[in-house]
Amino acid sequence: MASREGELVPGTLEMLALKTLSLETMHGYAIAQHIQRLSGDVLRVEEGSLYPALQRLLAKGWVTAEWKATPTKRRARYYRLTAAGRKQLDVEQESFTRTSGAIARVLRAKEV
Amino acid sequence: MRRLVEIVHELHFRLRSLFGRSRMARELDEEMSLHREMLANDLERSGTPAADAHVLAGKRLGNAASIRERSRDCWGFPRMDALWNDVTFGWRLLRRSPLFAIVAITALAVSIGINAGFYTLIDALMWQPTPVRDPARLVRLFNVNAQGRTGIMFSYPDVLALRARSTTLQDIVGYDAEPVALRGPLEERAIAASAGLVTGNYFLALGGPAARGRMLLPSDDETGATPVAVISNHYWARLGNRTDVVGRHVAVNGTDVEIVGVAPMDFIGLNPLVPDLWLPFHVGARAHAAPGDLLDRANRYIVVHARLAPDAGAALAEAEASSIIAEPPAPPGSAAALARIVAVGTTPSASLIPFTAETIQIAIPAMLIVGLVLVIACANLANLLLGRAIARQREIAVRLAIGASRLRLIRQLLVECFMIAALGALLGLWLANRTVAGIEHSMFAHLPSSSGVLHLPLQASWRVFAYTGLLACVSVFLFGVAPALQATTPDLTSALKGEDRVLGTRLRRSRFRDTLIAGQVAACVTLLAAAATLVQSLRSATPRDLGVATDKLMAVSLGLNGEGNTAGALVRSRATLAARVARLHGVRATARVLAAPFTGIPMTRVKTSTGQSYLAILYDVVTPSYFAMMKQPLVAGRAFDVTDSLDASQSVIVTAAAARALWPSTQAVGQSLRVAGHGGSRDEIRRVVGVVADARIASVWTDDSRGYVFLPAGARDFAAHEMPLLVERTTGALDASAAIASIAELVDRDAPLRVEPVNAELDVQIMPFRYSAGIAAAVGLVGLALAVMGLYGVVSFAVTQRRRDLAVHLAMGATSRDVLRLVVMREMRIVVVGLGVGLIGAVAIARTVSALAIPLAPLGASGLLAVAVILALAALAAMIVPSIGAMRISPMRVLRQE
Repeated sequence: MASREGELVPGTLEMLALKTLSLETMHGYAIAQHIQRLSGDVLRVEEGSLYPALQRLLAKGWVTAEWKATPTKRRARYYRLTAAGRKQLDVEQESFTRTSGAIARVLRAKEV
Repeated sequence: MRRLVEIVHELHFRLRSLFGRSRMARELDEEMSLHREMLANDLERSGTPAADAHVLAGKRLGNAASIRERSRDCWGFPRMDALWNDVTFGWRLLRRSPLFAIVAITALAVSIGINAGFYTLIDALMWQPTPVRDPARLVRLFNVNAQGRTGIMFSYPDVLALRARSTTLQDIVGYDAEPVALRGPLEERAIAASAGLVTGNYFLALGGPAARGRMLLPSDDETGATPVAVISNHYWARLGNRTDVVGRHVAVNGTDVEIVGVAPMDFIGLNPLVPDLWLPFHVGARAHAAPGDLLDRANRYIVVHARLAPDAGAALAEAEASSIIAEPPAPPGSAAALARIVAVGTTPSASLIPFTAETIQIAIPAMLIVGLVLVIACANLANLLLGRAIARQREIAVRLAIGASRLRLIRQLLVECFMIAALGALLGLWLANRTVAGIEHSMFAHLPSSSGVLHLPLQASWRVFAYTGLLACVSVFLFGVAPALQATTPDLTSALKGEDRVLGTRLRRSRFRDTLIAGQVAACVTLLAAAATLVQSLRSATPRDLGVATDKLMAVSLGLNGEGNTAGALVRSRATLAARVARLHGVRATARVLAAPFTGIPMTRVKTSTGQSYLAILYDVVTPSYFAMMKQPLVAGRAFDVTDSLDASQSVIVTAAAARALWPSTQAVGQSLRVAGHGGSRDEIRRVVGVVADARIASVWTDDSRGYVFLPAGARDFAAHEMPLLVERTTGALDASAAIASIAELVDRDAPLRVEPVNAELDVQIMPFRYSAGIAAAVGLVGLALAVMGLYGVVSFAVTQRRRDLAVHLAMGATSRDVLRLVVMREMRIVVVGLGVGLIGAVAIARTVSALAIPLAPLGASGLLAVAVILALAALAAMIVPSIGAMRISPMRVLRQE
């Protein structure tokens, strides 16, 4: 099977999660919803993949986690971006912009 | 920097999660089920039927097990987990086949133990620093005489001259150990003890502060200084650790000496035999502990160490020392011209055995040869593992078939090997430690109390542990890798189909096993040849056939050691003691001699009537009963008789070797011989009255190839020298020493008495040879035993494997003798190949040995042949036993099992 539309390049999910958490502290489900909504439902995250990704971010020290009650009084783990995570987001965003720009240029050149 | 912080953070996270894994898994599950619920709620709210919503939510979330697995990658250390799994799996397997585990671990433990023990000795002798301050620049001086002979002894005037004039050598210290009679403060009787004679700077140059009082100082060397001594910690303990010992007096050979200090427990100094006390040389001379005249330049008995000055190399120091010590030329041909010192050299002395190119040249081949034991053990293990792999081929094939990678399986097999090796190494270290301690203990037990207390740095250092670890790794490589590769070859997947049950397939012998057997035999031949070389050389260096009977002899000394201690009363006491002991029940014969056999036999210079120059020769002064008592037969002429006991006697007896050296072409009896006078007395002209057979009475390391000259003992000798008494007890008689002691008590209760078997001195001298030969023989025998064990294992395994084949042979009419031939010949061919390779190795070693400048006689052709025959017979024996089992195979039973 060829690559399915909307499937994420490895590592991108971490960047998206970091970006999402840069807005506010939230739990896993909220992060997944946020990414899906903002991408206009184009990016189909296998939602479970978010959790190993979050564990990796925790390990790197880019996010911290805390168990808190949700507004509906459920116990949930809330993730918060750290200073190191914010720096990492900047780095990744920049490198992504550069890479995707380059890819876009190559593709445009091919059309000419 | 940021990366570093991340790495540290991740490490911390993983470490923390290592122990909180179950909690983290629970939290993850909670998080995921919350996610599924919230998603299902949202889906329901957006119109999906409740039943479908849950399914859909689960689907969108994905495979929970896989998510958990991927999250787990961040927790703990996944690779180590796998390793841990391998270890527990391997442990279970080992426990399931305890016989295999015991055999494998024991074989490894013995062979690693031998290597670790051997290395402990090498490490202690060559690597461990001399236990003194700043040993790195320490050197020992030696001198070279005009004949090219080297010696390590210097005279006291030599030491003084060096200390006064050398600029390239610092901390020049002299040392000499002498047996003395030592009477402690408040003690009634003297004991036989060891005194270290040292220069006053000895402790400043080598050691730390005193445990009590002070150490000796350079000012103690001055001739007018109070006689002082520092006692060793063990002698202090013998005195009861008295706190008021400093300032008290001990009697050294009857001379009063003040104790000024106690050496610390860890002070050993330059000789591993630690004396009971240290004295400045002039004090030793005053107490007659130092041999001869202290200020005689030719009286050399002091070992000299020094430190090279920081800016001086060894060559510069040697040149300068040579210019200070070298003696002026003497008239050519004279004895003085031959003995003249022409140069001084230095040997690094940072460890007991200097770490030089030559010693490394000996140590490394020795270590490699001992390493052959490990090679043999590893070949055994490899064979065992191959056998196991064949037994496990189904398991392995199944695991390969269900997708285990080959690498993963190899890792699993190697982890098992590492476990065996680690257990073997641990056990081996323990064995080595026990063995070395045992050797040290038994060496210690052989030392007489007058030689001091032995301190060898035989504790295993970190290098020994590192070496053992290295050996364990090497052994895994040797025994583990090849079987692991073989066991996991995809060929073996045919095992799944049970192909090994088909007649014929497994009969194709593995070439690898043949190589193992041949290699094992080759290693064993080389090892045995090397061990035999060493044992043979050591035996030829050890005088077995001395030519004299000394087994039942005891040497009895009454009074003080050394010369000049001959007060008339003591001379009479000795004579009385000798006379009374001779009448004792159980004493067959007695004789008195200047020097007891195997102690320092003195040298004199002799000249024949026609000779141009003097010849230096060993000599002893003996009473008439001596030769009969020693069972040293007369070859020509007569023995000494009563008339020779007169001082005016001009008789002399020479040994056969001396007769050949002095009168190569004529009869010795009747010739005249000029014997150099001692201490200013004039030369004497004597006449040879007899020739006795050759016999060694000098110490093991003395060159006695020119034979001995014997002079008859007269009143003058008894007056001037101690002349110890030799006592021969009758066969079966009890030790007469108690009786002798009670006579001595009556005769002279103040004079210290020493009664020792004459052979005790010899035993101490041949101890290093005996131990080396014993170690070499033990190593060779262990190698042989391992090889025999391996062959036995291989042949029994082959017989089991070939049961069907052999049964067919038998069914087709082969006799049991044919079967025996079939089994044995097959293996014997390989053994012969191994023998050939091993003999080539042994010859190569023999070549190397003869190229080295060490006194080792390489094994001759007959020796090599003997080794080969021994090994071939052992191999045959190892094969016969399992082959007999093969002969008893019942073809019907075996074939029916198909």
